Amino acid sequence: VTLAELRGDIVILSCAVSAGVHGALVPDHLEEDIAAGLGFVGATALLAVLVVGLTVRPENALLLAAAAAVFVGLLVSYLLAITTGFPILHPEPEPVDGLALGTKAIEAVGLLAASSLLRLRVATALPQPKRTMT
Amino acid sequence: MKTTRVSRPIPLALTALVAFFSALAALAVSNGHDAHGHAYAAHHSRGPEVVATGTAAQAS
Repeated sequence: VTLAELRGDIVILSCAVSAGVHGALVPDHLEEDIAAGLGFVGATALLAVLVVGLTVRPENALLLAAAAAVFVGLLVSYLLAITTGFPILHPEPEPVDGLALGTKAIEAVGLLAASSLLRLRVATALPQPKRTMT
Repeated sequence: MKTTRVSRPIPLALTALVAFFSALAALAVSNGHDAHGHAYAAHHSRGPEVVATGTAAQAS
């Protein structure tokens, strides 16, 4: 297993863990507030699509960029949710809890793996400058 | 014979298993919090009743 393959697996597993946690919390959030619950449904669906997509087409850079964007979205959303409250979906700030912090840590690891893999792909795709003998 | 190594990511079944156990863990943690909250609320709401029963028992 190369380092690039390992990073790809980390992105997929981060999506899977996050999808599992968000999916499990859908009923609680739907009871609390239907908009927040639908937000969790959307996040779960997006992450599940990314898991399948990245498993079937691991070479697809667009899917990798989408995974990085979803992780950024989830991390920023949680930051808003615990500070000012998430506009429309969850206007009241919520207390910080361990489960959410653990999930966000895993998403941050997934984001780092996805962005480093993207940088690697861009670096290998770009033509290398010719070296001149001096 | 020339063999080419095709790299495949982690199997989908294994990823699904990871998602499933993450969901179970999330449910266990969130229900644990709820149960603790309910137990705390029940304990505090039962307090005055116990005192009242005790007082009634002493009075009779």
